[in-house]
Amino acid sequence: MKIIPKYWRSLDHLADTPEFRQWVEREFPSGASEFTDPVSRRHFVRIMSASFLLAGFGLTGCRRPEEKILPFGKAPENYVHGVPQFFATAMPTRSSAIPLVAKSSDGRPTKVEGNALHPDSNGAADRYAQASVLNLYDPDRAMRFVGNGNAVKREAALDFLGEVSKKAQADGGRGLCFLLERSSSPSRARLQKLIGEKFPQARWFIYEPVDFDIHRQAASLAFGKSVTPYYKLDEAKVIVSLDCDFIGGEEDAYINIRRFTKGRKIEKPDDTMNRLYAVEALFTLTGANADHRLRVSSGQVLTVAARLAVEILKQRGGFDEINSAVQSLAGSALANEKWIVECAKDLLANPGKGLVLVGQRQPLAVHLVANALNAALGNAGKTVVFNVVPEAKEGTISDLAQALNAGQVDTLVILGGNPVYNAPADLNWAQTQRKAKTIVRLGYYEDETFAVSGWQLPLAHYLESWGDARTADSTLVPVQPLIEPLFGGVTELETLARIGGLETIKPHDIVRETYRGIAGGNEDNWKRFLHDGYLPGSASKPVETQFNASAAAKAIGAAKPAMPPTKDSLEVVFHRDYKLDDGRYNNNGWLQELPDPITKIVWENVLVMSKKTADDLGLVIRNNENNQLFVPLVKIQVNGRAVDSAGAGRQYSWSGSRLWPPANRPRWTRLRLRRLSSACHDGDAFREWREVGAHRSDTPACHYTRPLDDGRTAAHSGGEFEAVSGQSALRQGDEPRGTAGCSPAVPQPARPAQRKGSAPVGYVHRSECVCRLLGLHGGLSE
Amino acid sequence: MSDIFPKWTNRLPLQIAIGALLAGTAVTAGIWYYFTPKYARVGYEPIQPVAFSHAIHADQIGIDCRYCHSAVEKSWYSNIPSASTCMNCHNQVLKDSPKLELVRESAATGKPIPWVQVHKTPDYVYFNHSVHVNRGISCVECHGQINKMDEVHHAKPLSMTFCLDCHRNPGAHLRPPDKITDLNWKWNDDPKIAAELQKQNGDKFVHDWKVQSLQSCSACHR
Repeated sequence: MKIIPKYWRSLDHLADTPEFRQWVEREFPSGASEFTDPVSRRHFVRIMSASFLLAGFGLTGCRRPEEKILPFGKAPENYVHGVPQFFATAMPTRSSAIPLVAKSSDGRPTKVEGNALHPDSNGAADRYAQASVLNLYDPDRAMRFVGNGNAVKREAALDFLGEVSKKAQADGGRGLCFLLERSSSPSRARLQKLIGEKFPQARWFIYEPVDFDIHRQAASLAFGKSVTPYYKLDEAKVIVSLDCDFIGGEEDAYINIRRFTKGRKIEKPDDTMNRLYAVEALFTLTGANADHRLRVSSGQVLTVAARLAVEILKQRGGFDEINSAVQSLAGSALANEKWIVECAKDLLANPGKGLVLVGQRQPLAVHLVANALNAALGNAGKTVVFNVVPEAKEGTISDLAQALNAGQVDTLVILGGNPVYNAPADLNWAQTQRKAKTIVRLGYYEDETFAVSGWQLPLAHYLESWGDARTADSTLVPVQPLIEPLFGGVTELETLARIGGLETIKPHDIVRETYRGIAGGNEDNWKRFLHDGYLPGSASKPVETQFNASAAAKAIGAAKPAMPPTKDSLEVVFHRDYKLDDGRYNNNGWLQELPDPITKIVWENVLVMSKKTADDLGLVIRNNENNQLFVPLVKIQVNGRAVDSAGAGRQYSWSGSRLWPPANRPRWTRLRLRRLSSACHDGDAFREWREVGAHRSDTPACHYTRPLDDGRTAAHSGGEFEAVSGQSALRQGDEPRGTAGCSPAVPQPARPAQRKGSAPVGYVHRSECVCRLLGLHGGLSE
Repeated sequence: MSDIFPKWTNRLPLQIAIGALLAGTAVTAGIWYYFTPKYARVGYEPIQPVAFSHAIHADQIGIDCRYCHSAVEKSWYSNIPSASTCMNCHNQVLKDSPKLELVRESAATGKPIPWVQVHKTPDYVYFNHSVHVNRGISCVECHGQINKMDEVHHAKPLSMTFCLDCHRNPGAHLRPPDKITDLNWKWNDDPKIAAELQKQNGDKFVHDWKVQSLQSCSACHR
């Protein structure tokens, strides 16, 4: 008989089912106790508790760790641990250098400031110099020597340079081409000369995506000898800037700032201030500081310059050839006639105390007009003086592309730069470069060019290198290392010397030898030079110049005025970024974090246009319920080539191996900078640059745009874009209206992309194009 | 049926209470004493790789502390001398002594001598030697009579209280700047007169040298 329990705990208990009986018999629910592992749970706990107990007996955590103090065997001179040391050095820039005093904290460079001893710098330094310290410690730097895709030993790579040298020695350097960046280093110039003598058939080329050489080119043409202008802004009473951002984006802006503000300082009651007239398309720092700002499109600056020249030459007389050349460019009266007339009056009222400056973006004709005006007004030799510089004999990257395509290049040596990334798109550089049989590249990152290079050597940072440079006034400055190359990197000088098969290979000895040639062999003077950070009296003496009106008039006459932009043919202006330069500081968080001085944008790339242009193009800001602004991706097509958004064209992450987009890891792409075919304007005078940069937020594979080199437009999937500029806000809207010239093309309406198997992720693609699009209808100031 | 609890258990609660109290006191006292730097640090005397005697060098020969610890007035860090400093004398004196084998090797090859650290402030404490030494705090205040030690041992606790005691009353410890490294120096042999002089001069030094003796947290815990 079944015993019915008096008390029961559950209905199963009462019913006394077989399942219940089984359940009761088991200690754990089925499955839980069925470890197949020979180490049972209980065994594990037993062992662990014993271990903890023993650990407790040992009192390992309570023991005093015995620490060692390791003093020097032989202490370095003047070194006190814990007290920073300071060394004079310089940061080389394209055609100049910034003299610096670098702080070394226990052997690590930690901070740089301007060298106040230098006669021409007034102790100033710019943001690039300040932030360059961070680049030294960039974890994404190229850290290894690579030969044909494999990491090799440093010695093997250097041996290979020796082989290149031997081969060149055998055939006089036939098929040996060097692609360089601009540099003011006398040592490099000397090595180039030595190698040129040794290998007479070797060829030299220079490429800079943002180049300031136009100032030298124009002055040399206008004055008939190889000279470069040097501006004395502090002595100018009337300054006219023709699209020249001389206190922002131009070279040596850090000096110009001090000079310019010196002319604005009022200390006595009868002091007067200088007056700044700015003609510009962008809203720049110079425009923001101007007393009178004239907003015209970039292409129209030539017309304004010509109009100004007509007004001035009418009064001054002479310069007939120039006068006739500018007459045709000046065209009919402009809407801004009155502004120009007043500006001309002011310049005429201050002969010898005015200064006309032209920006690096502007074509040669505008530079020549400005040189003519400075000569006509007697400013040349007073507010702008001319220093003799060596003639540039190097070819351009287009010349190199021609040589490559003609199969004339056996060995291509690329020293610095990233041409695969920022060479003119027309050259199709990635493919063109492959035509060289051997490629040796000295690079700071393992980037796009690295991927197409056979051999790559890591480039040493300037704080790790011996070198030299000349500042704006041609004063010789040393580049001293503060630390051994962190990853065994080599300098440009050493690479050149090894390829040249020269006797002196150590960069220090090369620099020392150059110095000996300039200033003699006195050891004390050399030490003084290193200590003070400049060579006294090495600034070049300005030369007397005679304006060559006929040559200038000929070049001016060859220029054609650009058509004013219309809604259907907009003008795109690509400019040197205030923070990232041409993109070289893209991996620098300090600079990325720095707000743009005009738009206040950080970590972003935007396309800036006037509200009116945006309205005309049907680009409107959408405001969602959370009060977030969304703008669409704007795509710019120029002559069939398109500038696109995040990640576009950036195929390689910094590690050099993974394909873009990297898995789940936020990465910063580098600014993309390419010379566009000059479709926006007639003639090829205008330099347009396209810069695409990107901020990738944590967006796995949200969109991937194909590289742009095939000339087709890139496809986009969704993504939302945030308005980043109060004035510019764009977002998706209508279909593009026409594609003649430049026109923003608008992608499909944005949808929030979804991660696989999860809820919609609310990420925002922040903006994309860095370029500022400035339309017919006005600039930012409205 | 007998009692479950015998009679003696009546006193048990009292015994337990007293026992617990005694045990608690003992544990507290033990932790109080043995876990403090006074016990944990003072007296620490590791064997150094080179049998260097401060007693001989500083006391007997009378070499100033700053001859070897040359950075103490310039840096937050008081350096251990490089082997080449030792060799300044020992290339003449005891130049073949086997005891100095390591020093000679270090000076020749640059391989450092692994001295064992005795005095240590934790990483979360900022301490600057130069500030103290230049304001009349003698080495002896923190390191004890190093000049009497053959093997250096930890003489003072260097605890937070230790720092604060002095920072709250710096006048009691300041001495004339030229006596900083004279570890035997006293104001007077008579303790009474010495105390009197210390009081008079200490306060004057605090005023004259603008001794701040900061007590804010961030002065040391930066």
